Amino acid sequence: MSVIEATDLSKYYGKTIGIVKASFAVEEGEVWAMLGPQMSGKSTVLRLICGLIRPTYGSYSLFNISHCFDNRQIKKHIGFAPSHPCGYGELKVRDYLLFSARCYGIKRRGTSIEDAIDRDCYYLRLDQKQRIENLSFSSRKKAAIIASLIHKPRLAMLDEPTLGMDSFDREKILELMREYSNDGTTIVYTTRNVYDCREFSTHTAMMSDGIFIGGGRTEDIAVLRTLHVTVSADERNSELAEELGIRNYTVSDRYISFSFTGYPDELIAILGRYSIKTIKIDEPSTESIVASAAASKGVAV
Amino acid sequence: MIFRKGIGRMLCQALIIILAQAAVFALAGAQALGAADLFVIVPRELLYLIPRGNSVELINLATRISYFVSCLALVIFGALSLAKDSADGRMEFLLVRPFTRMEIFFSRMALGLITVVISCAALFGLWYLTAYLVLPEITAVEIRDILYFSLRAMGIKAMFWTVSFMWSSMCRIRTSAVCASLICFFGTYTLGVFPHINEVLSIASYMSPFHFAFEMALEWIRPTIAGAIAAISLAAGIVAFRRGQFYEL
Repeated sequence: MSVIEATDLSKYYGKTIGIVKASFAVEEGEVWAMLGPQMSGKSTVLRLICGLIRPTYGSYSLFNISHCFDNRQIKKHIGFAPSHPCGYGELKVRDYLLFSARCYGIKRRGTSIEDAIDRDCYYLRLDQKQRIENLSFSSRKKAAIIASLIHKPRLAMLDEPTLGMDSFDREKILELMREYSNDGTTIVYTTRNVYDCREFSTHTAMMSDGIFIGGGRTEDIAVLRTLHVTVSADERNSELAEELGIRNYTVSDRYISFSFTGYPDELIAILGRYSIKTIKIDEPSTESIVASAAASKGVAV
Repeated sequence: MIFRKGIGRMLCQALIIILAQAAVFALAGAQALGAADLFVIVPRELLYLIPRGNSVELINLATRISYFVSCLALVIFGALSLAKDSADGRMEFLLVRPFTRMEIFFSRMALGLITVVISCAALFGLWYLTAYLVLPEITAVEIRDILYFSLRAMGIKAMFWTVSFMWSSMCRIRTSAVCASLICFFGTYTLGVFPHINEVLSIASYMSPFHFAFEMALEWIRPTIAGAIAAISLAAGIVAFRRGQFYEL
C-alpha cells in the first residue's frame, strides 16, 4: 500500500524556491531518507506532507486519500518531529510525552503508554523529571522524537533526527527508529549525513536547491558508497591507481588520493596486494555526493 | 483537549485583568474614604489630581480607567493568543496532531471570549463593591445603569479582542501582532476627535471607547458597527489561519 504519493509537488516562498516538481512514492514499511545539504528543500517536503504548509502546485495523497490537508483522521496516523523542537517548555518531559499521547486519544490508565515512555526515555538517556525549557537542544530533540513515535504511527516523519547528536546518541536514535520501523511504522526522515542513509534507510532520495535529483533503493545508489581514500604504496602508487581504474587522482609526494565508489571489501582486496604504508579513509561531504549524483543524471543544480 | 490545556493560561490572564481593575477601584475607594495616603506606592502628587469629596465622580472615573485598562490588557492578550503559540512552537506541535485548524482557532477564541466575560463581570462586581462601601445611598437605577454599561462594555471589548485575535492569526511574530492590535485600539480613540472637526463626522465618535455620552436614539449604532467589525475580523482571522503557512522561522 502506498503511504505517500506525491505528484509534481512544488512549493515557492514568494520568489524563493522550496521544492520544484517533486514526484515520489513511499510504500508501507519503507524507511526513506531525504539526503541533501542545508537549504535543499528536505524540510519543506516533510512540512508539506504533514500539513504545516500548502503546496503551490502539485498534489499528494496519504494512505491513498487525496484530500489529506488538515484531515484529522489522517493526522491520527502521522507522527512528526521538527528539526528545532520547542513549545510547551513549562512541561516536564514525562508530562510532555503524556500530553502528546493524549492528543492522539491514548488514555494514561490501562495502556502501556507509561511503560513505553519509560523504555524510550531510558534508552535515549532522557531525564523525565526535567522541564523541556531546561533541556539541551539534543535532549529536546530526543523528547520530540519520542513524542512523534510513542503512539506508534503508521507514518513517522522526522526532520533531521540526528542533527546535533554525538555519535552515541546518533546510534541510539537510529536504533530506536529501527525498532519502530520493525513494528510496522513507515519512516521518512531528512538528513545531511550519508552514514545515516547507508546504515539505516531502505530508500534514499537526494535533493539539492529544491530539486529532486533521484531516489531509489539505498543499496542501488552507487554514489552513496563513495569513499575518499588517501594511501601510500611507495613506488607503486601509479600502478595501484591503474588497477583501481581511477582517472582522477592526485599524487603528492608519496601519497595518492582518490574517490572510490564501491563496497569496502573490494577496496581492501585490491589494497591487500600492495604494501600499504599509510591509509586514510574519509566520508565524502553530502554536497559532493549530491553534486556527483546530479552530474551523473545530467541535472543542473 | 486544546481548550482544557488553555484554561490555566486563560485564568492567569483573567486574574491579571481583575487585579488591575481592583487596584483602580481600590485607589478610588480609598480616595473617597480619605484613606488614599495608605497607598504608599502611588506618588502623592498623583493623588492630588483625583477629585476629593465627590465620590460619584470618583467612581465614574475609576470605572472608565478600569474599563480602559482591561480593554488594553484584552487587546494584548488577544494579540498574543495565536501569535505566541506560533512563535514558540506550540502551534506546530498542535497542527501535526489530530486537531483541525478550526478546532484550534475556535478553542483559543472561546477561551479569549470567556476572559472578556470575566473581565466585564469583574468590572461590575468591583463597581458594585466600591459603590456599596462608598455610596450607601446607591439606587437600583444606578445599579441597572452600570449593569447596562458593563454589558455594552462587554460588546466593545469582545470587538477589540476579535480584532486583536485576527492580527494574532495573521502574524507569526508576537511584536507584530501586538503592535498592529494596539494601533487599531488606539486608532479608535482618535475617532473621538472627528466631531470636533466636522459635525457630519460625529458618527465616527461612536467607535471611540471613551465616548460614553450619546443620544439614546442612536443607541443601536455602536453595537451594529462593533458587531460588523467583529464579524469581518473573525472571517479574516479564519481565512488567515486556515491558509497559514507554518514553515521554520
